[in-house]
Amino acid sequence: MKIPIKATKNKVSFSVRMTPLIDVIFLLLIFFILAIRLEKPEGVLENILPESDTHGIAEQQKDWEVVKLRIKLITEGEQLKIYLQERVVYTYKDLLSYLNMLPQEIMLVIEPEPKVPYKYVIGVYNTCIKAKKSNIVFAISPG
Amino acid sequence: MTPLINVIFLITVFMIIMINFSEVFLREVNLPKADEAKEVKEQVIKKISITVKSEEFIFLGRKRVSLDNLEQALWQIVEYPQKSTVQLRGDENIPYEVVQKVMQKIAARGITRIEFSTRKEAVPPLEEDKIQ
Repeated sequence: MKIPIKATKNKVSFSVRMTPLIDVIFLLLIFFILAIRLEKPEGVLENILPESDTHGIAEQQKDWEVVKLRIKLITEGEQLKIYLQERVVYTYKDLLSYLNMLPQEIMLVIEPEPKVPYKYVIGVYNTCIKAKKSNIVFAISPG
Repeated sequence: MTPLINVIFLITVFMIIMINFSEVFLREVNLPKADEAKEVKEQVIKKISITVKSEEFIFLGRKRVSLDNLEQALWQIVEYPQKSTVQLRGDENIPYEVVQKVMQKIAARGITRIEFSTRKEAVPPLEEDKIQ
C-alpha cells in the first residue's frame, strides 16, 4: 500500500527579496556621496567692526593714539597692486616680508578698491594675520 | 507591486533631496582660501550667518533678504548685538563693495564681532591670478 506524502504541500518557502535591500543601500550610497561632496573644511578669520554705525573704524580711532599703515588694493588692468603707503608689492610673500618688519602693535587699515574681488581682500587679511598683526581694520566708507 | 512601490519611493526621496539641495546650492558659495583661518568655534554666543553670493543674492540664515532690508532684518532677529557674532560667508569673486555694504549694515545694527568664513587651504599666489 502506498502512503501519499503531503509534506511537500505544507512546505514553507523562504525566499529573500533583494530588491528593497538594494534600493535602501542605493539610497544610502547617494546620500553619503552628496553629503561628502557638500562638506568642505571651513574656517574663520575674526575681526572687530567699528562700534559707530556707518563710519569706518579707521576714522573712529584717534590719529594720535596709534600708528597706522594703510594697505590699499588697487586693480590696474588685469594686475592687482598692493600699496603699503607708497610702496607697491605684487605678491603676498613680499607683503608678508614687509609686514614682518613692522612692530606688532601697528594698526593696519585695509582699503580695497570697490571692484577688487573679495578673495584678494581675504588674501591680504590672511597675510596680515600670518605676520602676527592683531590690530587690523577694514576701511568702511560711510554708506 | 513591490518593485513599483520601490521605484515610486525612490523617485519621491530623490525629489525631496533635490528640492532641499536646490536651496542649499542657491546659498552655496565659493569661499575664499585662507590658511590662517581658525576652526569654527562652538556656538557659545549667538552666531548669525550672512551668505553673500552677489548683491542680489544675500541670505540671512536661510532667508533671502535684499541689501536694503538687511539692516531691518538684523534689527528683527538680533536682540543683543554686543553678544552676537556675524559669520560672513562671501563668495570669493564678489566685488569688495558688496561686502563693504553688508559690513556697513552689520555695523549699523551695532554688531562688532565678525567672522569671515573661508576654506582652510593655502592662498593661491597672487601672481598666478589674473583679475577678470
